[in-house]
Amino acid sequence: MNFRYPIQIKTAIRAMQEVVMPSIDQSNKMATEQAGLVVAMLQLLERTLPLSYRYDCDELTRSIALAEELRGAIDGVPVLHAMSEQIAASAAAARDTLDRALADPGELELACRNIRAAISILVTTAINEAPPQEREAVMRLTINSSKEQLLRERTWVISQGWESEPEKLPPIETLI
Amino acid sequence: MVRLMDESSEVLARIELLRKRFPCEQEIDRILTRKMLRRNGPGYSAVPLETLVDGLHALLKSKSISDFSIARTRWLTGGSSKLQMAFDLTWQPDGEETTTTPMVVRMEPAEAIVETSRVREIQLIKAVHGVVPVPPAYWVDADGSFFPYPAIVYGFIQGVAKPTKAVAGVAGIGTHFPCEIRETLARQFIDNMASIHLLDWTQKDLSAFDKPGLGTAAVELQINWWERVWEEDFREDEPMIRLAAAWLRQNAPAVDRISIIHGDYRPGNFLYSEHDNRISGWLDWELGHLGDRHKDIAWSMAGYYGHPDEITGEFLIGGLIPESRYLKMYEAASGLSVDPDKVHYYRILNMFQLAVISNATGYRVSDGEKTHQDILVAWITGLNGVVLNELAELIEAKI
Repeated sequence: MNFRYPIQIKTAIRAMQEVVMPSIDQSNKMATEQAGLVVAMLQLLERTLPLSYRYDCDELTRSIALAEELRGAIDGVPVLHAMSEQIAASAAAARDTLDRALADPGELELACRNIRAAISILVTTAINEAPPQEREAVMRLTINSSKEQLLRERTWVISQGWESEPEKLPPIETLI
Repeated sequence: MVRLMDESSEVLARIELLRKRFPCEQEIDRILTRKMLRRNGPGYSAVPLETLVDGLHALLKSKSISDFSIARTRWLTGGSSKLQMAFDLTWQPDGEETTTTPMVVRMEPAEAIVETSRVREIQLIKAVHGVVPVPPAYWVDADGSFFPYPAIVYGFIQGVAKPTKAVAGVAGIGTHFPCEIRETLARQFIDNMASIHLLDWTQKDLSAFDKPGLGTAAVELQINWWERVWEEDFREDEPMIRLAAAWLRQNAPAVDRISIIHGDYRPGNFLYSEHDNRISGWLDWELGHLGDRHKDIAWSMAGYYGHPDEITGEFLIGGLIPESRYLKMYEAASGLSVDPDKVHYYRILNMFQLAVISNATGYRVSDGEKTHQDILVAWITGLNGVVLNELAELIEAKI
């Protein structure tokens, strides 16, 4: 099948740039601005869609690693025992999803959401209730992992122009 | 009037749960409750200018203004959260001679990227009138009785938010002011902020605001506001948000003076006249509250509102003021001290707030087709990576 998303997006951009935008009344500033954003959004999609599945797998891989490291960091803290069991179950479920190469992209995304939810609950509880040493360990692990993940998120949307020094970010293809 | 509410027991129970977990100011609770009751309702449908004109007629008649005419209606751009229609009103204010006044209707969409109160906005504009340049505030439609959604009517002020020939990103981010006008604007930027923070608000009608005392109450209200919004709006939970919320609660600094806080003090939210480079008006008071001056100071220092000086390479706050002079200029203008630790704390709180807006609300409202410019709102969600990364680095520096 040839009529897949690359051509759909490409033609949509072309229609916007060559037909729709020139016909917009230039005094209608909101319409002019939104037409420009439509094209930019389609161009972003055109670049990121081919990598979307790889991106989710990569995110889940590192979320599993964080969950397991966090579990090690809180090992033996009685108040977090139940949480430790829960995070282990979430990590196991996530790994099972990741291991199945044919997992549906939607399922993969759901696994990401679920494990992030489990991690989020653990982080809140640990910061509020764990002893200082484990609390700091949880914070450092979370921050380090977040920065790794956020590097990918920032690179993913680099064409949007939010970065003050975009040249310092590696290409997304080298990160996932 | 859009009033399609979902008052199912499930929705009401969720609202009550969030209300108890995150106690907010009374008016903030009212508008967040209204948002959640309407969440399952219809999205935003395009409102023609004629509908707003009809709403204006009804509003003016309710104010016993009968002899008037409305002309030159047109949409205004700017900002990402509210719709704005400019018009000329020919009327007789308070029995005076007939005059024509340029005005603006500022109306909410079905749900905004920041859900705020029009009552608070108009009260703040009135409170600072005569202290800093603001448009004259006229009327408020608090619950959408006259317009399709809640709205305020205020005066139209002349000026530009960015140099006519400048390049800037969406929502005024990344504006570059020419070198020769920076010092003039910088002085006013600082002086106006100082004036707002020094204002004796106790003599003003701020009935839509809770009045926190000294200590941490004002900070806790802010954390509760934005954590409640996170809970209401997020699709995918975010460990850094949870970490930040817990850290902010454990490290909240005491407020030594309760001031009016603009809440979004930055380039893009003031207009100035290009012929003399005078600031003609401060806009977008919707995030205003009573709290710690360090919040405005920190907000204005955010990286994406400024850029490096083209010659020295030093970062310019707001694209106007070298970072090394900024805090000293504020202290000199206000006579108030600036605590660098508090500035750091509020940079974290501000990043937390921005992360909630970009990560959770930006997604939620555009997914629900709730605004007049969903594509712009969705576009802004791309800011999330930069914001969360800065949040992580700011907290990392404190542990």
